[in-house]
Amino acid sequence: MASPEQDAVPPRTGAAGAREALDAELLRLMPRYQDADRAAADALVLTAGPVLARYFYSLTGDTRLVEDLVQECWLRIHRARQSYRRGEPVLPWLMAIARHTRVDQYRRWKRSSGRETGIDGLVRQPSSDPRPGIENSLQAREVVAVLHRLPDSQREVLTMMKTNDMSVEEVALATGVSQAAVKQKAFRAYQAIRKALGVSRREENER
Amino acid sequence: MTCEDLDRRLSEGARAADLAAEPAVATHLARCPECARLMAWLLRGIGDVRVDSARASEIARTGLKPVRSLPPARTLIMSLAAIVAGVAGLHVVTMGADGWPLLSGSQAIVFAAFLAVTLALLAPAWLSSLRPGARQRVHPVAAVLLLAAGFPALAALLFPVRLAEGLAAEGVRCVAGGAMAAAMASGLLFLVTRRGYPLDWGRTGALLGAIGGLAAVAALQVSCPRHEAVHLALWHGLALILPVLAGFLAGRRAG
Ligand SMILES: [Zn+2]
Ligand SMILES: [Zn+2]
Repeated sequence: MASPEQDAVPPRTGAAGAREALDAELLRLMPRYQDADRAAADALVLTAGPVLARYFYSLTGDTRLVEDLVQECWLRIHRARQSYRRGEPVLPWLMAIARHTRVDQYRRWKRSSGRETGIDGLVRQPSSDPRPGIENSLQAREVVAVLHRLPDSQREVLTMMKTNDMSVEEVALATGVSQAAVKQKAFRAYQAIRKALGVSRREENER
Repeated sequence: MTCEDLDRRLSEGARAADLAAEPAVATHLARCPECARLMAWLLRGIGDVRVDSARASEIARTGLKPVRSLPPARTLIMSLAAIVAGVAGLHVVTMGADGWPLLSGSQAIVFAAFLAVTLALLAPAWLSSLRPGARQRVHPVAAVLLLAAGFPALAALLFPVRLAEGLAAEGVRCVAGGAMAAAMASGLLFLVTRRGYPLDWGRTGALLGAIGGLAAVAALQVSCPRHEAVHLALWHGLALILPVLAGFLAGRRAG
């Protein structure tokens, strides 16, 4: 028998509902992970893993790099788990660590290769040889190819908003800038995406 | 509804799917191929990027033992205040309070107010550096710069310039005593900082150094009888700047 409360508040569906479900699950699992619950650790990996993988894939377009980044990120999450304060939203905490993982990895890569390219150097053309265990559809590659045309900071903001379905406030927390700066970057990103989509259309026509 | 309106709504966080369902947007999309193309691109997801979760699970389970969650902000701020007051107090107890009777009422009030304001900026900057994704109310660089630039400026404004002999010898003694106090305060605060997970250790190290340096200049103002602008700005200023630099460099190396 359904309670009156359940009748009054129907569960939200679609993207908003999915985000609410993700938040609720992360909020439930993080304290148990801090309490060293092994099942919660596994569940957290299954819940947060796809979020991280999508983020890294959107930004790098390279499936091998995604494997490395996700593993490195879990090492850091594991070490950082005490810094999560119970009851606080988990996603900005998680994505701030993910973001830092990538920035650090880029610095190391730059140091070892001695190259003077921007962080865009980390982004390779979307790879066309997906390894087992990684679903890498043609559609995903097309989406990432357009993101690839944006400067890094715009690509990051757009990735968090579009791919990870984060709010402006959450992106601001995860990237350590103001909400106004996030909105401005996103606005510029959408204008650049328009151009990029126009360009890819023209390229198609020329073929 | 214009193309720019659409970009604005999107950049303010509206979901593409929700927007497409709005009649005004739908009308525009039907007329404007460019926006229709943008919308179609936005509605295409990248799907699931699945990676091997076994390795991640292994990492998450490695040495898994219960950890204490980060204490509430109030507790952390109170421990910071206790460290600053405790170390400054210890310095005055060991080095004496010869400077205290020489301070005029207005000098003491303005100086104390400046240190209180900068500490009130450094504390939240430190607090947000402990937790990834924490709201940053005060930029750490701004707080450190205010202290580092404000202190010599205030010394020049509040105290007379009286160059006398023996400047260097007394100065070195002040830098040494101040640096010791700063190192002690920064070190104790570092132990609290380790409860968190600073993402930028260089910046956090500079913050720890600045808070230690603040404890040092506060204590020196009471212990040192040489209330003279050049001595304060130069030697006490060094007791402030050196910990900031040391903290920054040590943090960068560790991070
Ligand atoms: Zn339009
Ligand atoms: Zn002195």
